[in-house]
Amino acid sequence: MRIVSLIIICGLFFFFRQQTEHPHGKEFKLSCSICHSPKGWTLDKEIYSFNHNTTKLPLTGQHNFVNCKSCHPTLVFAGAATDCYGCHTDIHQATVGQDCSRCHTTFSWLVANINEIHRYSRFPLLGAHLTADCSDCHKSESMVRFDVLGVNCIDCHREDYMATSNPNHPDAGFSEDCSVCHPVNSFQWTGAGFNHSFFPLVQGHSGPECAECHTSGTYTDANPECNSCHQQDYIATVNPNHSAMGFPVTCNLCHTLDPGWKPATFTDHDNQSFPIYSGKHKGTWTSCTECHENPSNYSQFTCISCHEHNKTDMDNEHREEGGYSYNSAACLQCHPRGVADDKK
Amino acid sequence: MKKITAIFLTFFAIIELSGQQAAENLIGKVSFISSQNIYVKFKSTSGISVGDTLFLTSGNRLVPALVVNNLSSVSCLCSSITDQNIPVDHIIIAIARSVKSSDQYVENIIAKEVVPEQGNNVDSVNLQTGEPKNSQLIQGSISVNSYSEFSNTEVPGSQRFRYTLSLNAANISKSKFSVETYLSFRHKSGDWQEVKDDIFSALKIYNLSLRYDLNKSTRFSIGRRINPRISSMGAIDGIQFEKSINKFSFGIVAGSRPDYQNYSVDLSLFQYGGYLAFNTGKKGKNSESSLAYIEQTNNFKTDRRFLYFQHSNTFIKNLWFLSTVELDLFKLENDVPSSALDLTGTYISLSYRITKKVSVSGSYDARKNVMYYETYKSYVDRLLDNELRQGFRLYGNWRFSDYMIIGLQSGYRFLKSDPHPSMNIYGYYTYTRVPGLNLSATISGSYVESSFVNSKIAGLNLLKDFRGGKVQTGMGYHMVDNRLPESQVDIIQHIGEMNLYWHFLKKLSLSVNYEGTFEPENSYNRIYLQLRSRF
Repeated sequence: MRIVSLIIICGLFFFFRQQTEHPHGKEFKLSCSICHSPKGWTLDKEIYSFNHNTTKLPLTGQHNFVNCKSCHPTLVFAGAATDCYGCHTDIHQATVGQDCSRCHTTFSWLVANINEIHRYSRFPLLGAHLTADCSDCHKSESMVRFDVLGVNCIDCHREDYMATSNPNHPDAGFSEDCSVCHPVNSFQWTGAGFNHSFFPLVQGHSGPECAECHTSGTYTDANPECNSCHQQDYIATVNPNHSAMGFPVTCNLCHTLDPGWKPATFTDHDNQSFPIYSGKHKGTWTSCTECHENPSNYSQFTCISCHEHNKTDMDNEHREEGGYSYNSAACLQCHPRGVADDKK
Repeated sequence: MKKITAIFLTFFAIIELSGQQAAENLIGKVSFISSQNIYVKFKSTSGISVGDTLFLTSGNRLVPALVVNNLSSVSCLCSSITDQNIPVDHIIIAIARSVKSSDQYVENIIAKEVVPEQGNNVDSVNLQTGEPKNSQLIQGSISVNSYSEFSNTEVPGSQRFRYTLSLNAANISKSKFSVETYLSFRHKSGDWQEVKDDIFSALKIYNLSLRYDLNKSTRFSIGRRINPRISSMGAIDGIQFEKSINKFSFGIVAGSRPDYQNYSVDLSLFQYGGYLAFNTGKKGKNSESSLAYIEQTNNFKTDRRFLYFQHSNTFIKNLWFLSTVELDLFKLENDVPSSALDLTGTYISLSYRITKKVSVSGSYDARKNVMYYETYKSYVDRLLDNELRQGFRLYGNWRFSDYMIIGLQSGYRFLKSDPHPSMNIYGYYTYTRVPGLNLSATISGSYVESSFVNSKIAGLNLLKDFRGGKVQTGMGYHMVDNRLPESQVDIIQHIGEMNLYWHFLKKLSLSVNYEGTFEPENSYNRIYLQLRSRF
């Protein structure tokens, strides 16, 4: 019995000794004197010199000033978590991942790098979006949830889209991609903020009221064909009378966007009737009326009013030509390309 | 027998007393520095052991600098644990364990800086078990935050204020009761109507709970609280119970969930569930696993039913693994409930420290918006918005010298309805101690592609600490070349940042952050301020 008692006593002694030797765990290797002094085993703040920066989690910012027990609930210091959520409950409810440092620093929970966060997300902030309040897009933000949002314009602007009346976008079947008409870096939905780049409103097209082209109010009536807006202009022409001349209704074949329809060119003249933009007659004229002396009828023309084509010379040159006649129609008939040897 | 017992007790008492080791300073010198190690020579290394920390002197205090990897009778082979340059012949101090009287204890170790603030009774611990006694610990913080945004555009500037209170009062008056709270009040400057209309549009109570620790392994709580084991469930207004038995823990929760729109209490949103957790840990190889089952209702009709699984481990040395899975078990199609499985959220993260200087990590996350079938009946649009967003992130860095780090990071995210997937690649080079200025400088470059803009970004960031980290200042500049591919428009942005963090008056800290974005025509500015007091 005595031997048994002795064994028990020794066992208990070793047990308690084992316990008291390792209050910080068996793996603990730091010198006691970093924290403790002969005053006792309590932490001696006077001599405390542990450098936490030698651990897996260097202390920065607010971590420098929190109570040790916040992270080390027991004396086995190695058992403390080194990942954020080991100490900090994920109040975002798993909607933004587990890496707090993507948005927060150890200095403050304040999220200061909003621009940067979005830059590496699916939706970088540009233009008016830079002035938006978080809750404008993140509707569940008050619950500190950041749910998955679509990045298509309509995902956030559906209410704006549905509320349109002039024009009524849904009725007109407009694209739900707002950026087709409304640039991302503009600050108003209308006027200067409207992207009309599919039909640039420049030069002669600048400045008109929308309704001048969009007459029905639906904004689907106008099309980029010249005639859809300029039919009356075409009909009203007198010099030359486009209609009578059978000019095409594609204004931009002859006209630029300069206001007042001038300058105008008719490069198709070469193909349609007579080469004046190429060949021998290129650059020899300055005005249509040099050949078309009757501005009310451009089907009339003259070849013989030019000083090169005086009758005596022409008669001598064509003395051996059968059927020769000194008139403009005959000239064109034998010289459709305007040169001496291009007789038909 | 009494004599024998007395002899034994005396013997063990002597042994035990001899274990009360004192310490003495040994002075050595750096004798040689190799690319990997630093050699320190002493008269004798008696009292120094492998794993011990050696110190530099800084003023009248000792700064940990080296760890002993190997030793002979007069020399130690060490590796550095400090950023400080240690030249040959530099004096090194070892605090050697000795059997001498504690009177000879080092007298010149005086460290007055960077001593963490201690709560009450921080020393009141049970050395037998290593567990804290039932001691009161009250800590928390209050903060005032201001968020100002203004630009030169026609959009008017705005200023928001946010006030927060965070309190954790553990074992109040050494009782078994503890209180936790985290709440905020926010409002826009000059806009009180919204607050008057609905106080809960401004007041957000994220946590307000009373906990009772029946014993070390059993606890109850009542009130609003997010349970960290099932944080994806969000806050629970009700009761929570947790019991630990050895390596197992299980818990039960029941109550309601906050109102979806203003986060107030809504008793019609009853929810309940339970979880089982299993922790292991041995020689640094730890694991934590938990599985939860939750049922959320609206007027007692099932709104959502799901399983949540979380697992993390460090089974392989230097490898850290985390995964969470959220699996919905309930679906309502054409008003007909079914028990279809639907993977709502997955998160997998892997970090590996290849060497002391090289580490890599990667993560994958996939998430759908949570579907509350009953609640969303009045939010028709939300029912349509349930696509899976997936993303990958890869990250690696290499500290190739004491002061130089390079890193590379890449991300890829997409949602089926996105016009294009979003991807980015980001590289940086950091020099942590710029000569002469004693600041940290980082230059970075990145390329970003998203659905509607492609950006090339170059940046420089400077950081400088003052007063042992109590003041940190930062400045940054980024040039961003944005290209809108659809419209072929270029938008160049010059972004400037300035940050100040100042910890003053012991428990007060001030954060000031400014960010200015300057485009050819427009400029946008943010100024964020935070004044925070810990207690």
